[in-house]
Amino acid sequence: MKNLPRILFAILAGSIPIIGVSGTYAEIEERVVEHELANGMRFLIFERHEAPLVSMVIAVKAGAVNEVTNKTGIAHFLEHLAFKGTQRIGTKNYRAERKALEELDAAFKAYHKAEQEGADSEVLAALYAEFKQRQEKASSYIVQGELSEIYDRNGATRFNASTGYDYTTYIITLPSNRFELWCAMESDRMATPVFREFYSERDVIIEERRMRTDNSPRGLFYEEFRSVSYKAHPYGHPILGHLSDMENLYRKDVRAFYETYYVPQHMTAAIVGDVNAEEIIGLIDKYFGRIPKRPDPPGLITKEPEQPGVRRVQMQIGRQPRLYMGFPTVPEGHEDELVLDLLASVLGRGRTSRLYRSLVEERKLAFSVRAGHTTMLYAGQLGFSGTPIEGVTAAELEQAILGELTELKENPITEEELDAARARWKVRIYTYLSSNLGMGYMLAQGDQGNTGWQDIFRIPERAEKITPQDLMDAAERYIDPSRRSVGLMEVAND
Amino acid sequence: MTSLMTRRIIAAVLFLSASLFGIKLKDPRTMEFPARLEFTPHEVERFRLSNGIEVFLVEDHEFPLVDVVFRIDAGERRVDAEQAGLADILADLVVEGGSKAVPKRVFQDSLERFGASFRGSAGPKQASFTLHLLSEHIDDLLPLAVGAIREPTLPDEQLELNKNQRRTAYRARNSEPTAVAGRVLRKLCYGKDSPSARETAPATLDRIDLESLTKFHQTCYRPSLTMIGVVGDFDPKVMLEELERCLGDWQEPEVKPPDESPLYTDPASPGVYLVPWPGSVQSGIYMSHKGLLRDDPRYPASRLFCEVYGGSWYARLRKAIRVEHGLAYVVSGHVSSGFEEPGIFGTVCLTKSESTLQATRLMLGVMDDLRTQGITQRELELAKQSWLASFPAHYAEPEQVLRDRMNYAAHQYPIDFWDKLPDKIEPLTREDVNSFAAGFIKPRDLIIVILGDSTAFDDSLSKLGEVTIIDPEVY
Repeated sequence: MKNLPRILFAILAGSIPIIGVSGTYAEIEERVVEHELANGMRFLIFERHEAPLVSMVIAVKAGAVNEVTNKTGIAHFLEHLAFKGTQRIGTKNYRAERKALEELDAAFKAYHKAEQEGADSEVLAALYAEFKQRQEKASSYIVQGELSEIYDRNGATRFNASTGYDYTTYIITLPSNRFELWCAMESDRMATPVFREFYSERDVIIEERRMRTDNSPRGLFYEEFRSVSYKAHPYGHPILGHLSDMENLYRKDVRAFYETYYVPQHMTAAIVGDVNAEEIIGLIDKYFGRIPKRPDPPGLITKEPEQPGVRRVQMQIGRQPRLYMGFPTVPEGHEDELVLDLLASVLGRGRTSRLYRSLVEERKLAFSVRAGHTTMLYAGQLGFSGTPIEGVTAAELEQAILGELTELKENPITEEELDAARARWKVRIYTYLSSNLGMGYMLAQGDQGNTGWQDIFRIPERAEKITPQDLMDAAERYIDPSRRSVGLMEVAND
Repeated sequence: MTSLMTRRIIAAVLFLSASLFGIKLKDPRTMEFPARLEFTPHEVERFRLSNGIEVFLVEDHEFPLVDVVFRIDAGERRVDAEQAGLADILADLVVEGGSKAVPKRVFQDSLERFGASFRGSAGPKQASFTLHLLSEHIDDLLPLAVGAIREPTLPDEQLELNKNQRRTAYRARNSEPTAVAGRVLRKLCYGKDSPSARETAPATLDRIDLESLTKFHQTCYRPSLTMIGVVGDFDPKVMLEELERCLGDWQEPEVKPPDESPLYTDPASPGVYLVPWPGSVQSGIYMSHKGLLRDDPRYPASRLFCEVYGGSWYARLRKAIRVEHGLAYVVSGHVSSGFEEPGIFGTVCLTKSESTLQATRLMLGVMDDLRTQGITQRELELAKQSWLASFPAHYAEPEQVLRDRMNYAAHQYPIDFWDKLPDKIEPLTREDVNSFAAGFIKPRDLIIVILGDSTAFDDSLSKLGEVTIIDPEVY
């Protein structure tokens, strides 16, 4: 069986290779230029001259994992406010604006305090009027949207940012002759941001939460599932934050988070595209060198304790039943990480995976089913998700997946299955690396990760050394049904 | 190749010289660059196989990857509305089921073994298939993919599985509010039976069987409706020979393919439509009327209009609704253009229930301001600078160049249509854009769909006009 397809191909395809000439992982790695400033900020440059464009990805090791009770959503809030400008961009007179912002914050604090203390409506109305007046005054100093307008005028595309648990990431693609503009803008943004338009942006973020979570059955369910997967660890908090926290954040909270976690030694910028590394390093030094080094942020103390039993969340919501099931594993960089990645791939990635063939094709229990191994800086999860076919419940699908996992012992993973998983990884990595932003993400986040950016290029080689028995051992060690987290989304009764 | 150490030394020298000579940091607000950056997109070579299939090749040897794209004009437009979904189901079976020469299991295992993917789907116009793989496996896997397209097995069991999956999806179709609103809007704009809007429902699935799929395949999957593009790491001469070997003997069937039905079949009357969503904490507001044809002489002006209206960070919609009032996270507007029929002029905003009417009025206000007052000179300049400077991004990657060229060729447009746009954009005046806005925006033609809980709205929806209720359970 193992050789049949190969023989078949030879007959069908003849023997003329169509292969061109391209780079190996080692050659690609060699092309990455590393540069570190005295303040600790790191830069990774990859020249690619196919189009006159350059993509930049700044990964800041700061995210929802750094948030504490009462202050969830602050990392994401900061990411939004980072688009509001700096001490130079977005203001007509920063000195006067700063004073106006301080007065505005004081007015809001007075109103908010009175509201919490149950002040009567007249007092509240007066304080609110004062707040609105201060807001108007502060707005009078703003050059609205100046930061994004400068980028727009200069042909920026993919100008955006995202907040995760471990990183906040700022991305952009510019015509390559605008590289110095990026240096000037981003060094300003990282060194002297001004969190103006705080109160109206809070409303925008709350709308984002409504869209992604509160008004989306699937979004709401996933938030609940995460909350049972992590009892103590902040990975159980929603990245967007709890509504009550979002409503009670102050501008000074965002400032404090920025000062603590947006330190240059926790930032890596990847620059991928039509630039000359030797030429741009001077510009990088000139602009980003001015960001002052600050103390290292505090480490994370909370560890997720070993899960002592099954944790479940069950919701009647929406019209489509769905299942999530997760087993705690290892953080990014752990020696078992890749073994678990490959195990997840064999079990539930693609149409030839075990779970798909068994539960979708043969037993006809699921509409879709997949497995994935997610690792973050502090923890990992081997996850299974699926949508049952009509007439099957999420709970029945859960039992069916557990049954398949138990079956592993009787039906061990084969070398062919592992080969396919390795090959999928190889293609996946090349595919990511083939776009400027894809490579930028890999380099920048990889550099701030537990293992360093080079690790991505070593995965195929390490995967070759892994055996089917390694996967079986990992399954035995990590797939423990008595320590699983389960989310059952069931159809709501009207 | 310069070593890392050498580069670091050079960097240190550069840094020192920058410090010594006291280079001043520039102010990004005053930095100036040439508006246009001259560049030549990746070269696309065009060939024809002996049976007339057009082939587009783009070489890119940076990584050992190849994408082979098959575009076949066999979309839902050639399917009777009674069998809605047939074209897409066939595309699924082609990529899942194997070919007459290679049975399903061997077919799937062969692709997976090399980490390759073979994906397909059908939209209103065409079916598209993409084989994505490491270049070292192209000579093994290309014949398999071609075999599945030319002679799919269409296994009965696979068809039943696919239909069951679609029945499950249909019954869950009213789960996510944004998906529901999108479905309703498409049906209202194009007509329920339009290939762009119709649903694959249990009734249409019951009318799809092996016979109808086979018939559709035999009539629509043919050389004269097929186009192939290859991008990546390959030798073009050998690739062409291989494509000729795999496809050159594919003959045109005698029977004619079904005609393509129009995209706009039975659009609803303009007006306000409410999709009740009890308990919703956020409303979806969608406004739409017909868009443009791509070859409309006003198309270049419409690009600048879109920038100012709702497609940029400085767009008026964004400013009015998100920045100034904090009413929405998502708010945007766009004029899309079709090749054979007009696209859609669409505007969307998601806002809390309590600001539904306020946001709706702001959206209409922005539209009306642009229609009656037009854009400012500053907005024109900003839009032009932004559009012209970002032009290379349209061709950032070789695959984008390939797909763009194939798309224009498939619609008998000049394949360098997009390349010529900067020369048409550059001379546009404020009057050109304002004349477009005044003539194009037709408030009386708008279909306005609001999905939400009307009991929590800030005002009565009837103040916008007569309201038609749409029940998503039956629509």
